[in-house]
Amino acid sequence: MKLFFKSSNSKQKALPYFGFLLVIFIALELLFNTASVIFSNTTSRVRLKSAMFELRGDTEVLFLGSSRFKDGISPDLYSKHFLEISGKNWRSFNGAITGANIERLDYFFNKAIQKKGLKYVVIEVSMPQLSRKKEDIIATEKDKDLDAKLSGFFAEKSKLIQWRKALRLDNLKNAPAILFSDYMQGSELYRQGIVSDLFNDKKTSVNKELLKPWTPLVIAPNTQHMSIDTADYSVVFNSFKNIMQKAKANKVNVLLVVPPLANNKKKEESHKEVLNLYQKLANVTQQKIYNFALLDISERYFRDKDSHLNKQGRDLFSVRVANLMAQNLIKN
Amino acid sequence: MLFNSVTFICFHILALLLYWVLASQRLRLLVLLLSSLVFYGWYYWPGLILLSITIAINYGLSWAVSYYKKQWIFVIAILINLCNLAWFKYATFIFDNIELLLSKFIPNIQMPEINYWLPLGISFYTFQFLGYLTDLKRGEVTFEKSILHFAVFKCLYAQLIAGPIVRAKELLPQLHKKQYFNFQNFQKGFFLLIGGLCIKICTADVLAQYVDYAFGTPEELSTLHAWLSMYGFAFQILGDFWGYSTIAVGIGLMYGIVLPDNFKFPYRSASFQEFWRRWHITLSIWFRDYLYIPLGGSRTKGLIYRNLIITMTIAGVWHGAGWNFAIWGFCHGVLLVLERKLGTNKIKLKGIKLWLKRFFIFNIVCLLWVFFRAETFLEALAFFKSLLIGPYSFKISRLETLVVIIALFSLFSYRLGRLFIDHNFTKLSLTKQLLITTGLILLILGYAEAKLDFIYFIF
Repeated sequence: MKLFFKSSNSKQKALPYFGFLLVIFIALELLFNTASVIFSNTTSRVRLKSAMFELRGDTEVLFLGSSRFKDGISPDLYSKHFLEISGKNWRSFNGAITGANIERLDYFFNKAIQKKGLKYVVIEVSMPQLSRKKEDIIATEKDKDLDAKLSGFFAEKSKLIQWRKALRLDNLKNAPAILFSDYMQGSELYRQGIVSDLFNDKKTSVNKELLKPWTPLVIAPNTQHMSIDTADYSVVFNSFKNIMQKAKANKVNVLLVVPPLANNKKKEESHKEVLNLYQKLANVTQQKIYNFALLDISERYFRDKDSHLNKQGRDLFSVRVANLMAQNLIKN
Repeated sequence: MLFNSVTFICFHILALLLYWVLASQRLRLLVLLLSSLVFYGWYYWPGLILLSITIAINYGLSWAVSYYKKQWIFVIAILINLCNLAWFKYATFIFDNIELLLSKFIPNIQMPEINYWLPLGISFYTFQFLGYLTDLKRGEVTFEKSILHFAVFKCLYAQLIAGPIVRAKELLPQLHKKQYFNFQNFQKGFFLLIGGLCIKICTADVLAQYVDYAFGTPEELSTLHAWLSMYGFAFQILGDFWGYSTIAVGIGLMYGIVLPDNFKFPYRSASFQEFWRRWHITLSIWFRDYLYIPLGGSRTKGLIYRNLIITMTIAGVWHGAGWNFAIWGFCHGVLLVLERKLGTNKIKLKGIKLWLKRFFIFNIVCLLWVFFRAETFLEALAFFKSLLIGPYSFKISRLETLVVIIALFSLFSYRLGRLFIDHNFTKLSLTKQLLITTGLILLILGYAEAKLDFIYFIF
């Protein structure tokens, strides 16, 4: 031992340093194991919102969709209005995310449907929502070089390493959203327009006059043959079929809604083929689709050219969706 | 093998364990040599052949230089090393320029195409060989008889690829002396390793994403975007290279070997002379001792300026085979000359004047980095156009992150960098040491992404 420890003084602080460092990381590992629901869900938008929904108290209505729904639905206003017209005090949660796609919708829906007390799921039908992307909900190591293998090995053994990206400041800031999910409604996150809304928009007084142009067209299921190449959208149709089956089995109602479009997006997303696709979706799911995309809605209700509604637009749209749901409930 | 990879961490722990478990110094050196060869060959194994041959040839050459003490042997030894460097690093550049020049007189001339790989760290280890040979010639060191010691001196993995450039009189005596495990040194080495990794991963690699985009599309940049990207690159290259050097010094210390510091807050310099005393210190010293002084240095007044410009231009070309690097070095040379001529490098300033001058020097250094970063001279000009020539636009899109990173980096690097000096870290209370180390490790864990190469690997 003399060979190694020439100076006994120098090790006085260095030994406890390494000892305590080990203790700290064992403690952190334990923390990551016990609170893995927080750390494992902060690194992905869809997992974050899904976890928030899972952890919050009774929630009867869930909105799923892209950033158009995320900005377009105010759960607070929706619930308030819904209570007024239906007498039902239903809590709602906005689970829409930026960059939605069919895989993300599948993931969220399959988790959400297990929640007790869920009565309604409002799903956005739009081109972003029906798009397909590479699976990115759970990151998987594709490289098979030694470094990737070693990383995979350590990630398997340690939750701290597995969920290490939760330690990034931009992910860590999501942790309170999971911890306090009961107090959150889902729209607070990632709202780019929130600052401009706060300063630019006046309070909306939702009235019948203003709501008039917000009456959706209904795409009802029919038996007409659609000339559409279904192979491209087979995954989408299968996903929606699965959603409808699961919803039925769990006695959850589904409302399909096409959100409003800004003028420049109308050409892109309202041409014949897109409308045929929506019709086909209505036929496959045997469900009405409420289409706001073709309405003549003023540009002043949008905060940008990508069809994101501003505060005024959001209030009107939320109220209109609440009305639709109330009508549907009465019919059912 | 990259310092910022899981493979390296595992490899380093194994090599360290083996090194300290062995009692014999020769066996320890053998561990160091083998691990250095594995480390080097991991990246591209054929590079090992060139490295081994170069070591063997230089062992023979250094014996000849020290035994015969003839000027012509020394010159041949230097030329062999320079030819090796020129062939692998500058052949394409030289042939391209010859072709361009001759094409005006001989149409359709075609020079041979060289498609060799660029051996990692060739500039660094060649300079180490050149320095050793010169020291031998000057009688500053004696010939190292043991090939084992000689090889470890030449390829110690801590500093093999991107420095610091260690001199024989600094390293060889340490290799001869049996090292005792010293907890304090080991702890400091460990802290430097963690600190260096943190600087590389959490700042340089994060900044790289913004900078790469900006330099890839200079014509699309707003004026503000271009300026921020320029500052971004200034901090990226500092973080990248300073991070690497800090890791290297840390690794050395964990083996009980002291390597020289390479950086000393260069962006706090109040003159260009001071900048080069704080930036890549071992390279600056190398150029001073082996090029500037042999050229005549400052002994002949009229030649100082010529010597400065030659030295700095060569230093520029050392960084890369391209006119960009030559211009970058030349401009630094001119600035050093101007500074000397005006005597501004000797003026002692205090307070706000000092800070203003530092700000001025920093901005000039940043502007010159554009030549260094741009792929071609035309790309550099396009970037300068976005920086300096209108129409001016101050549109910001997602640049707030870049501003925050740069601001955090400058604060963080200064605070952290002070702890790298001497025993500042080990003198801290245990609680502070633990808090700082834990914070750094968590940052590394969080931000470690796909491994990005160190910029200086290609030099």
